[in-house]
Amino acid sequence: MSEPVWHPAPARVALVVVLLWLGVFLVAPVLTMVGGFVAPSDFSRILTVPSTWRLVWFSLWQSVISVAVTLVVAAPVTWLIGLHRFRGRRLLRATTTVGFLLPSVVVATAFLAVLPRSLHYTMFAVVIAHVYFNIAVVVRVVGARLELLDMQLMNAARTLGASPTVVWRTIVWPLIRGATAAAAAVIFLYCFSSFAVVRVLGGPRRSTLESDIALRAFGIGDIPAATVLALVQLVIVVGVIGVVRRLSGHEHGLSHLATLPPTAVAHRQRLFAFGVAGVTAAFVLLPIAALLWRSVQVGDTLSLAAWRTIFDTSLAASIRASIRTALFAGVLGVALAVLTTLAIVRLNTIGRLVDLLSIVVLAVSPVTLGLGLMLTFDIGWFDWRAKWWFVALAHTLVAFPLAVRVLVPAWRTTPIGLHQAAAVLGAGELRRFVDIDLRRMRPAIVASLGLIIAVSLGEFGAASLMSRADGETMPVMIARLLSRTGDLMRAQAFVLASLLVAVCIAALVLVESALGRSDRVARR
Amino acid sequence: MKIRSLLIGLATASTLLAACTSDSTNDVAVETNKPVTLRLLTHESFTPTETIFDDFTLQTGITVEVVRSSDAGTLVTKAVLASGNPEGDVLWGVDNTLLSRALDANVFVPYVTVHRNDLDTVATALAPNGEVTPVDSGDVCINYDKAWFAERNITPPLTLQALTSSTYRNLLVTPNPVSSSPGLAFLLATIAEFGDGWQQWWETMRDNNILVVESWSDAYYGHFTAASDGERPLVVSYATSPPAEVIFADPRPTEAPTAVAALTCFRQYEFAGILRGSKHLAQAQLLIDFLVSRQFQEDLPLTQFVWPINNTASVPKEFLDYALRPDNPLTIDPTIIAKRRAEWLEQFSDIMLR
Repeated sequence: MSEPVWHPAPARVALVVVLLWLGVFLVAPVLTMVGGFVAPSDFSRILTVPSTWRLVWFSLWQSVISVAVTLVVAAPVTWLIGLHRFRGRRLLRATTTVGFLLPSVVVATAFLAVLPRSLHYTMFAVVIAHVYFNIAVVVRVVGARLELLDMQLMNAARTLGASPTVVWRTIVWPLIRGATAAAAAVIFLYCFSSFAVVRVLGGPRRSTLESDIALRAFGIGDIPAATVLALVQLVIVVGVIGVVRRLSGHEHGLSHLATLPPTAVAHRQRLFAFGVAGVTAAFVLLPIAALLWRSVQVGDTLSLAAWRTIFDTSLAASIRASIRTALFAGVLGVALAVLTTLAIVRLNTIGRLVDLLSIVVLAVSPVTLGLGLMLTFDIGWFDWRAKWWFVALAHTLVAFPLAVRVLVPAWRTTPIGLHQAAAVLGAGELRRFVDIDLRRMRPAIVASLGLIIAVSLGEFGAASLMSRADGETMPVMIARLLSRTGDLMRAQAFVLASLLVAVCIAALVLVESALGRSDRVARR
Repeated sequence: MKIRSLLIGLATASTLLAACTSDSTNDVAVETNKPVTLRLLTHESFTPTETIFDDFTLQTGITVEVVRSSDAGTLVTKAVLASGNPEGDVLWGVDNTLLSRALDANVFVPYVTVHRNDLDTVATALAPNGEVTPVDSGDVCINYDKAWFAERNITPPLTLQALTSSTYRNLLVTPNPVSSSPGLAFLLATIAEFGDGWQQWWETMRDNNILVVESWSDAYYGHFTAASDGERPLVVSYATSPPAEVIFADPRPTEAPTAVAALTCFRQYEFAGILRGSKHLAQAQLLIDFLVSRQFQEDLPLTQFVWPINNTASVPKEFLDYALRPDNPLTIDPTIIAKRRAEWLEQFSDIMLR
C-alpha cells in the first residue's frame, strides 16, 4: 500500500464522535440498568433456575431450525438469481427482499391472516415467518457470491468428467461457504432475538429471551430480572458473532458488485425455474395480499370503511409519528454511519475494532435498548421520555450497523489513485473528502438512508416501550389495534399494515436503484 | 350558532364559579381561564357513554381527551416507566392486583375526593391516603356456555377443584396473568383458594390442557364458544359478562346464554389517580370528583359492566337481573399481593409458559 495521502485527524475525530455517541446512548443505558437495578443476588436468582436455561435453549433451537429451513427454502431461488440471466431477474430479487424490510409485527399479522386457525400459536407459524423474513438475506449474501462463480471453470470440470456432486464439492461450495456462514449468522441473530413474531404467532407459551425480557419488564415489572436476561442474551450473541467472524474470515455486506450472471436458464430447466420464481413470489406476496384483503373486510362485509378512517386523528397521528421518527432516525443514522465508516476505512487496526463494534451493537436488542434509554434519561434536563425524537435515538442505534455494512464496501471501491492525483493537483483533505469520497458515495448513502428509514418504520421492540400515547408509531398502533375487539379496529390495523408495506416498498425501491447506481460508480 | 355561544358563556361562567367555590384549589384554578384539556389515560375496556364528559366540560370548561392503551398491565407499566413525566393527567384502570406496582413507583399525587364518604369503604381502605381513588368493582370468575353443556349433558364445573377433572379437559381458556389483569385476578383466585397448593393445581390444569392466551379479548372473543366461533366453552371473564351477553344481543334473549361459577370469583377494584407531573392538578382533582360522582357512576353498569363504587348510585334493573354479585368472593390482602406478585407470576410463568 502506498503511503497515506490523508491525515488521520478527521478519522480520529469521527472515531471520537462515534464512541461518544455509543457511550452516551448505548453503554450508559446498559450500565444504568445493570448498576441501578441489579444486585448480585439477582444474577444467582435468575441464572440458577432451570426456566432461564429453557428460555436460552428455546431461543437457540428455534433459531437453528429457522436458519436451516430458511437455507433450504431460499436455495432454489438463490440458485436461480445467482447463476442465471433472465428477464425479470431484478424484479424477482427485489420481491424477495420485501420480506426482509417489512415490519415484524406486520409479517406476523399477515401470517395470522393467511394461516388456518389450527396453525396459530404453533412452532410452524413461528418458523415460517422467520423464513419469510430471511429469504432475502440468503438471496442477497449467497446470491452475490454465486454471481462471481466462473462458469468456464465449471464447464471445464464437467467436460473433464467431474460429476455434478464433485463440481459442487470442489468448486461451488468452497466459493459460497463463507457467504453461507455469514448469511446463516445474520439469520441466526435475527431469529435468536425474535420478538414480535414469537409473541404474535407463538402464543404465550413460547418465549425467546427477547420476548421474556419484555414480559418481565412490562408484565411482571421485574427490571432486575429483565436486565440479567438482557446480559445473558448479549453474551450469547457476541459469542456467536465472534465464532462466525473467526469461521468466515471476510466481511460481507448488503452491497456487492453486480456482474451479470453468465448463463441463461437451460432449456430443460425452464419449467423448474418458472416454478421456483412463481412459488417464491407467491410466498412473498400472499401475506401482503392477505393484508390488503383483510383491510377491506369489516366483519362479514366488504367495505372501505377502515380506509376512510385513515385521516382520523389517531391513525393519521401514528402515520405522522412514524414518518417523523423515520426521517429523524434516517438523517442521524446516516451521519453516524458515515462517521463510523470513515473510522473503519481510514484507521487500520482501530478501524477493524470499530468494524467489530458496529456489529456488536446489533447484539443489544431493541427492547433492552428502549428500556435502558427510558431508565437513563428520566431526570431534569435529560428527561426525554416525552420527546418525540426519543424513539428515533433508539432506531438510530438499531439501524446504523446495517448502514455501515452498505457504506464500507462502497467506500473501499474508491481507487487510491484518485486521491493521489487530486492531492498532487493541490486538493486539500476536506476538498478530496467532499469531491471524491462523498460524491462517489452518494448512491450508497442514499441506499443506507433508505435502509435506516425502512428499519425505523418497522421497528417494534423499542417503539412499543418508548412510544407515547399521542405519538405511537405505526407498528405499535397496529399491535394495539389488533389486541382490541371490534371489526373496524381489526380492519384499521390491516389498513395501517398495508400502508406500512407500501412505504417500505418505496424505501426498498430507493435502496435498489441507489445500489444499482452505486455499482455503476464502482465499476467506473 | 346562538346555542353554541350560550354554551361557551355558560362554560366560562361556571369555570369562574368553580374557581371561586373550591378554595383548596383556588391558586391553580384561577390561571385556567383559557380552556384546559385533560388527558385521561386508560385501557380499552373504558367505554362510557360517549357524551358523558359533556356535562363536566359544561360545568368546568375542562375538556377531557380519553387515550386508551391496550390493557391494564401495559397501562401501569408505561405509567411506571414514565413516572414523574406522565403521558397524561389522570389514569383510570389500575386495579387492586396492580396497585402496589404503581404506588411503589410513586406514580400518583394523592387527592381525597369530595365524595369520599359515599364510596365503598372496603375499596377506599386499599388506598388509605388517597393515593388513588376507587372507581368501580367487579368479580373475575369462570364463565360457561350454558347451551354447550346442556347439549352434551355435562354439568358445568362449579368450583376450581372441579376443573381438574378430565371431564373438563381442553375446555378452559384464560388470559395470561402476566399481561392481563383479569388473568392475574384469576391466578390470585387460585392462590386464595388453594394456598400453597396453587402451583399443583396449575400443573394439573396444564396437563388438562388449559389454554393461556395473551389478552381477555383474545380469550373471550377469540376462543369462547358462546362469543366466537372458538372451541372452548369455559372462559375466565367477569361475573357481569352474562348481562352484557343479554343487553348487547338483538333481539334480547330472556335468559343469558352464559353463566358464572360463583365459587370461582375474585373481587377486583379499579382505581383512578392523578399522575405525578401533571400540569393541571386542580383540574385533575375536579375530574376525579366527577369520575366518582353519581352521574358518572350510574353510567358504569350498562356501558362497562362493572359495579359502581359510589353507594348512592342506583343500578339499573336489567343489570341487577342478570349480573351475579358473589357474597363471599375470593380475596387476598393487597399488601400480600404487593409483596409476592412478582414471585407468583414468576412461578406461574415457570409452570405454564416456559
